[in-house]
Amino acid sequence: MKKLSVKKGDIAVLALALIAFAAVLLLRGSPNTVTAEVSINGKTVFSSDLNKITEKEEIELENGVIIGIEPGKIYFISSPCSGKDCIKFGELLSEGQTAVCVPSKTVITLKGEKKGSIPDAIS
Amino acid sequence: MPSAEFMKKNKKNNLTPAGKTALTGILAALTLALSFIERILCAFLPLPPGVRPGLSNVAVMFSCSVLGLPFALGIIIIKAGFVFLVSGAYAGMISLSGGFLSVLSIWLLLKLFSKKMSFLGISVASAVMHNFGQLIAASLIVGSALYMYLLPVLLISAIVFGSVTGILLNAVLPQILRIAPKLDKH
Repeated sequence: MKKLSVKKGDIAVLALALIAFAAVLLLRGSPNTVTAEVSINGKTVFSSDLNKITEKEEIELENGVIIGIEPGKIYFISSPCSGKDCIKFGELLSEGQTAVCVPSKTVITLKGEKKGSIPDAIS
Repeated sequence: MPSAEFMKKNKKNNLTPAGKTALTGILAALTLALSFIERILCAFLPLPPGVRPGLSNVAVMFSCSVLGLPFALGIIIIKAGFVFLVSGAYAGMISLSGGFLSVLSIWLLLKLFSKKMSFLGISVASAVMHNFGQLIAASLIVGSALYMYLLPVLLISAIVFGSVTGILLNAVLPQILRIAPKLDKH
């Protein structure tokens, strides 16, 4: 076995991954309005323009998850799941951020809406 | 002593089927131990939730390279089974989906580009595929497409930690093969 050294293929993989990263960042762009959205099992159960929220609110969902929403931010407060990974996501502050609680199938997202952009074909 | 026919079948390296099975068991135990150590380490590292260094990928890449695809898949299944027992069905599914895609990509790259690529490239590619597989499984479970939002974080962490584990195996593998020349295919 020869000594293993970095070869052209390694550089190619790294370059490709970095290009993909840059492409994803560019595709997201910057939004005009930010909507806070809460969904359970793919169904949106709560949606609100984050800029229109003026005071702190706590929302208890049907599955026992409690979500906090404040001007400019949304976050998980508590959840009946065992891992509590969702709470570790912390506060979502800017467009494109997502926190997930997989056991309770709950997703909170800050969605940005851009005027004159292509509709979101993926979701 | 193994028969001539048997040796022909296993000419790739000098391991008997029993030896391969034993090594698979050891490596599976190693992946579990590395995942456990990683969990403790993560408590001290300021990483976003869900992002882990993936140290156990070192053992998975090693098994794919030395033992071949079926044994590496076996390790992935054992690991997913362990995650299933410890963290539940959803976590097990996410682990299996990520592990399956990552092993397939390691195997394909070893098969196609092993002369043009070291474990650095293989590791980064497999880390990307691992995260992608986990993201697909998580998206299916929660019923909404998470990838547009989580993809940038997972891509950059795959690049960083994939490089770390790849460089680690690049450094360690020649030493292991020096101690255990039986494993060497070349």
